[in-house]
Amino acid sequence: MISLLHTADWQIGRVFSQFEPDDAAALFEARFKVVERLAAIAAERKVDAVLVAGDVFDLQTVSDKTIRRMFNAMQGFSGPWLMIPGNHDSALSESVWSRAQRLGAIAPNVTCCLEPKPHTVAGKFTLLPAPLTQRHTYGDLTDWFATAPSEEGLPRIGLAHGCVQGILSEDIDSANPIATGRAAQARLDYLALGDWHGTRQIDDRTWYAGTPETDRFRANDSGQALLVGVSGAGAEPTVEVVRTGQFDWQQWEPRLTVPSDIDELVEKLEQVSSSDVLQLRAQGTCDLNGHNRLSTALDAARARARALVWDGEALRLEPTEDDIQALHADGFVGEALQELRAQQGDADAELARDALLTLARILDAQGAAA
Amino acid sequence: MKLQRLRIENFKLFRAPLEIDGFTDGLNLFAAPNESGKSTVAEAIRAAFFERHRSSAVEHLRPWGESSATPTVEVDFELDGKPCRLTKAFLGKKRCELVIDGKSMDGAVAEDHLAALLGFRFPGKGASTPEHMGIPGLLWIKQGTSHDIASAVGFASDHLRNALGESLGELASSNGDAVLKAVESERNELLTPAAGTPRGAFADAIRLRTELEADIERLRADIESYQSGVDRLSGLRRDHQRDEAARPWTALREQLAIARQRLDEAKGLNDRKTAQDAALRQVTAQVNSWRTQLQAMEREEATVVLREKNLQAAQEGLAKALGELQAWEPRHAAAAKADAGARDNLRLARQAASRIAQEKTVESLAEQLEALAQSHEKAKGEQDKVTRLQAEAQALAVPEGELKRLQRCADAHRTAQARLDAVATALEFELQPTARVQVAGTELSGSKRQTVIARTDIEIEGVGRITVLPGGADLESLAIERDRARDELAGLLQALRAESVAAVEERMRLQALRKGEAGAAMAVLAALAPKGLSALAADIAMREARLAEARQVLQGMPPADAAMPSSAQAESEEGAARAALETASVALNDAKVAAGNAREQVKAAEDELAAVKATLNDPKRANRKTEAGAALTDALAQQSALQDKVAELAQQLQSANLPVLAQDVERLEQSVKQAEATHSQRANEITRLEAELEARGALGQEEAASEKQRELEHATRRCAELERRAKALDHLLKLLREKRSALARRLRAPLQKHLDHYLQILFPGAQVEVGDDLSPGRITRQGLRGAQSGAFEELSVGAREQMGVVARLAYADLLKEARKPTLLILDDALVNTDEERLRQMKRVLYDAATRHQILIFSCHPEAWRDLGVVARSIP
Repeated sequence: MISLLHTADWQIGRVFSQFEPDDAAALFEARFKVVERLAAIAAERKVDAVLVAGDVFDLQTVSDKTIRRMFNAMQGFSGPWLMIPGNHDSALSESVWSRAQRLGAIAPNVTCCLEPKPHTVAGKFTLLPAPLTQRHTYGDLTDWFATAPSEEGLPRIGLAHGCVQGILSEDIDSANPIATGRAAQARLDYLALGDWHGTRQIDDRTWYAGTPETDRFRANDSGQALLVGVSGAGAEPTVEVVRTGQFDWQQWEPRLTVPSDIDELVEKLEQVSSSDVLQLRAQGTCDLNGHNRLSTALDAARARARALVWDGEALRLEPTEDDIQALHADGFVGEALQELRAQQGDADAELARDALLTLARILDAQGAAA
Repeated sequence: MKLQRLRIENFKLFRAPLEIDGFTDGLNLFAAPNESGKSTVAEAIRAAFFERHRSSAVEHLRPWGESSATPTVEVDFELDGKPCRLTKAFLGKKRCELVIDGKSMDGAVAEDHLAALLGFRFPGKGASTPEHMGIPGLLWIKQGTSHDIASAVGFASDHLRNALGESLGELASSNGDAVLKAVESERNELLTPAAGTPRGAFADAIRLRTELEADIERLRADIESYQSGVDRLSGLRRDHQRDEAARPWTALREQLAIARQRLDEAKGLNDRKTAQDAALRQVTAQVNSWRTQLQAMEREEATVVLREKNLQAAQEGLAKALGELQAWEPRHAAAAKADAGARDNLRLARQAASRIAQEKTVESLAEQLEALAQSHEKAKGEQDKVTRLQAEAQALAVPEGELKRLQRCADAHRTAQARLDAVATALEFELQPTARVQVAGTELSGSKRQTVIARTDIEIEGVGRITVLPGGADLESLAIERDRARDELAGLLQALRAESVAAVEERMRLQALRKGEAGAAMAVLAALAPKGLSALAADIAMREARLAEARQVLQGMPPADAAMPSSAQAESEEGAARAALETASVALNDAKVAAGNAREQVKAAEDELAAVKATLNDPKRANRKTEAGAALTDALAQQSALQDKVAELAQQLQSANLPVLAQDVERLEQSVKQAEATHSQRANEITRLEAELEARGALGQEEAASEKQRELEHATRRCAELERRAKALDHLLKLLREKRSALARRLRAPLQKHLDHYLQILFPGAQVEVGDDLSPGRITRQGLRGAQSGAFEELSVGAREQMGVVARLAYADLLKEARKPTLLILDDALVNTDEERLRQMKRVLYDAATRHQILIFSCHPEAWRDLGVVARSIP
């Protein structure tokens, strides 16, 4: 019986440019933190090895510090780590891996499999790695698995990065193909895959682990790793999904029509916690009062959430009579306000809404001053 | 508001109480000379309203030298229909009391209440200044200030706007200008006021974005170059490893050694061939030399034969030429004789031909003469016929017009007879066979009809006589007319010696016939003798003479020979004979020349032959020829041997292909050099590239680029936000300005209306704009030099003064419409106004006084005499 921790797509060094600097920095940090957490899980569950199925680094030329920090983060587990390069960090003639070696950052218990040849790991299983040595490969790098020799009686474990043909047809790097049914065809007890960022089972013996720390809003069951148990050569593996991610990425697209919609959204925003990374795209209409309440709630949520991106472009402002009275928008200012309200139906609705909000803000400030 | 009574005491000029009562609702004129107290009265009114009763800054109100007096003013007025009394005492016993409609107020409360009603304020402390005076400050014109309106309007503008605003309902914005200002200031933080280009934080953000873009561009280029370096390194390593294993230059070196050996061998072969070529060239030269010598000798021998042949040919030519000559001589003689015979024949033929021609001439003349004689005979007959016919026609002639006259006469007679018959009395008889009746002596029987025109007696036997008397007055004149016509006709016929008109017509027809016959005969005559009979006779005589002459000539000619050929035939025979003679002459001459030439040629050929025979007969010449033949045979054998050798060598050389062998060596040498150099260069390149990539990889450029990209996106977001903010503010500002100016236009409209009303009285046709501050702006007037336009400030003092008053009246109208109290006080307000304008101003004031109470103070009573009100004097 062997046990493995299967993970992939750490994407160390990824920068989240859509967020504010502090949020982006925290999300950058989180990718190191999750490696620490993976090491802790591996240690705690006393696994025989950790398999990292490619895209360890997001980029080839990251700083020395990033390389050292990444390998440092793995220190919590002193057992064998087996990693392969993926399409983001492929083992080119000069790569992040050769630099890591030169830096001496790679601990002895870490094996970076840069060539397609079998490894017998701790005398317990044979690892067949399929490292990417070019940025994109159009041939199947796991072809050689079928004919690869392995030590008699030991489970055969495959480690690859790419796209299983015919299953994950879109939304991933479609280069680097992997034949469907490779595990069965190459007599693998388990095929550990990387590239797809969500956890996904392909067949009885083939799994994508997904990225351990979510990195996009698209719901894809990410932020997890797999604990794999193989009782012996030929036995069907047991797979347990373990939660590893720190941040919960969510995408809300509320449609606002009546004041109670705002109430609901405000209430939801009040529930936002520090582990949330939120993208809010509102549409529909709301009055000035509602908009104010929403703004206040957003500001409060923004302070609590790890990151919050607000997009109100599709939201139309409909000031009510109460709004206008509350603002004391009479005379020509009142006329201007009414015109702006009407202009929201024109081609440049955004400009009209911005102008309307600006006017409301200034009127509000004047009212407060008076 | 209407003043009704004013009482002052201890006030400047007036120590004793002064009371002015009976103010009218309209115009109140106080016209009095200087120092009479007009201004004091005006000042008292102002003080009562504007000065706090507690003010200590009103010392000037006391009469001179009365330091303890209490200046007191009491004003009775009506406000909004309610009676009011304001009593104010200053400095000494300070007091203020206001009674409105029986309700009393005291002190500052009363003052503030009144101020609110009339639209002015009090200063915090000290004397009242113009900026506090509001509406009364505008409408109560102090001496010498009527032309200065802008500031007074400014101090009253809140109240005026209020008045306008109320009349327009909810349109005015309570804090619109403050909003506008706030928007403008926020907008101008981001955009330049005029051009709207980014500034401040916005400009900084754009600059930052541009810098970041440039940074990223640089980083990307670096990364791309790094990546292509990595790819190059992969390629180089692969190639290096391949060469290291295969060592391609070793094989090349072996090939080179073989190529060199083959080249050396080929070169030896080439040298030998060069030597043999030289020997062959020498022998060939000898062969040629001997051969030339022998050929020359053979040519000399061949010359004798040629010359003998030439001589023989020349002799043959001579014999032939002589034969020709002999053949041509008899032929030429025969041709000459034939020619002479032909010429003689021709002469005789021509003679015979001319005789025949003469005979024909005689024959022809005789025929012509006979024809002419016949024509002459016929012509004479025709001439006689013409003469006879013409005489007959002459005898039948009727004078011109006679026939027509005769016919007219006959018509007249017929007409007269017909008319007479028409009026004549008709008598019809149906008589018994036995009856015997005589009419006008003639006996009648049976049935009969008869007309009568004169008295006619009818005698019936056994009955008696009946006399018929035809009636009608003109019966008689008609009878006369008929008789006259009958007589005239008879006369005419007699003159013509004719029986009747028809006979005359027959004569005319006959005459025309004769004339026609005469014409025909004349035509025949003209055909026979066109030029007349005598000319014809002369022609006959002339031809007779010619015939005689021709017959004489014929008789002189020799008699004709019947065997003679025709002249044409003779001519053609003569031509042929002449041509034959010419041909024979030419041929004979040619033959003579050819014979001469042939003789010359025979002579020359004989001489040449002799000369050649002399040379060949030299004995040394035979020896030389034998020697030369032997030498040539030797040389030819040598040449053949050498040629075989050279050909063999050439064959060997060609198969070796020397230049290609040399190129092989060169090519292989270079290949070896290149292979080795490439290998070592590549090794160097790999080392260099490894070092370079290590160094560049350590820079972490992709990570840096990601970070920069994040900064750029942040900066881009900030730019977008600021741009949105700027655009929103700009849009809002434009919109607010637009709305504000639309509002201002609407607000000013009522004021404009009132202003225009007065302006048309003062300056007909003029137009004035109302400024944003509600004061009069640009004025356009119709002057002597067309329309003139100018700002209010550019007007003369007089005009400004008038406009000032006019504008104030307009404000008063406006206030009145807004149900605000109005009272106008003009304290010597029009001192700079000329008589003509003052007349217009009086009309204006009179009109305004129908709506407002107006107090006019003036020191020129005579100028206001025609105002329509009695000037009041200050007691």
